[in-house]
Amino acid sequence: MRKVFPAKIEYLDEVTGSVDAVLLSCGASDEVRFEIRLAVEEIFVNIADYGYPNGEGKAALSCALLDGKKQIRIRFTDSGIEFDPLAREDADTSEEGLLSREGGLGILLVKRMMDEVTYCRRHGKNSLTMVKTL
Amino acid sequence: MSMKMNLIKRGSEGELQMIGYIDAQNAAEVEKILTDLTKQFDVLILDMEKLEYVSSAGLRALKRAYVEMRAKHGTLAAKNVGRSVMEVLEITGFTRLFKFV
Repeated sequence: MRKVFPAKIEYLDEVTGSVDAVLLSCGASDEVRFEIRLAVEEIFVNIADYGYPNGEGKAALSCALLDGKKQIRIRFTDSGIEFDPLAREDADTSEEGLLSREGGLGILLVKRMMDEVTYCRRHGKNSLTMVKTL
Repeated sequence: MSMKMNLIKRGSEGELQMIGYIDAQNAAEVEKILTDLTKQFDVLILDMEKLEYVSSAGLRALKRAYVEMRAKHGTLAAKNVGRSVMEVLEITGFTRLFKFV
């Protein structure tokens, strides 16, 4: 599956719904659907909020089932500003850390919900790939 | 996705039943409702039995409620947290912000 969405929060339900449809088609558990919905939201919202500071842009979503439908690979590609969400240190989850720092929790959740997360910048595009065993 | 909330008032204690999702689309609205409630009550209990989903945007709303409550020496509590939501609270350290009842 490959779809392109405007990088705007209003499209969040369509984005997560598109991935969920693939998961439902292969009988994924509610828990896995939750975990993947969360990871997909965090990545898409990052692109929508920060990817195009000077205007509007798009986010391309592709999903593929691998290994006899036992794994899903989800990739977000955008032409926004260069941004590697994995490059930051993980959020400090101590009480002081949580209260003093904004941000970082989304990526922490993505890393914990998905089995593999990789980023690359190629041909002027950010590409964020996530893989999870279903 | 959306959230519906039912409030039970018991004097200075309020119990809020949260039904649905908190995501990036409705988190600001949820945050406003929670902060209004922190002004109204000394103890605010969030019943999360029917809270099906919370993302980092939702966590920010919960964090704001915690900060407001703490500033007035009140209590923010949570109950009936489902497994997936609890996983999110544990991973992010947000279990520290709630009294679990």
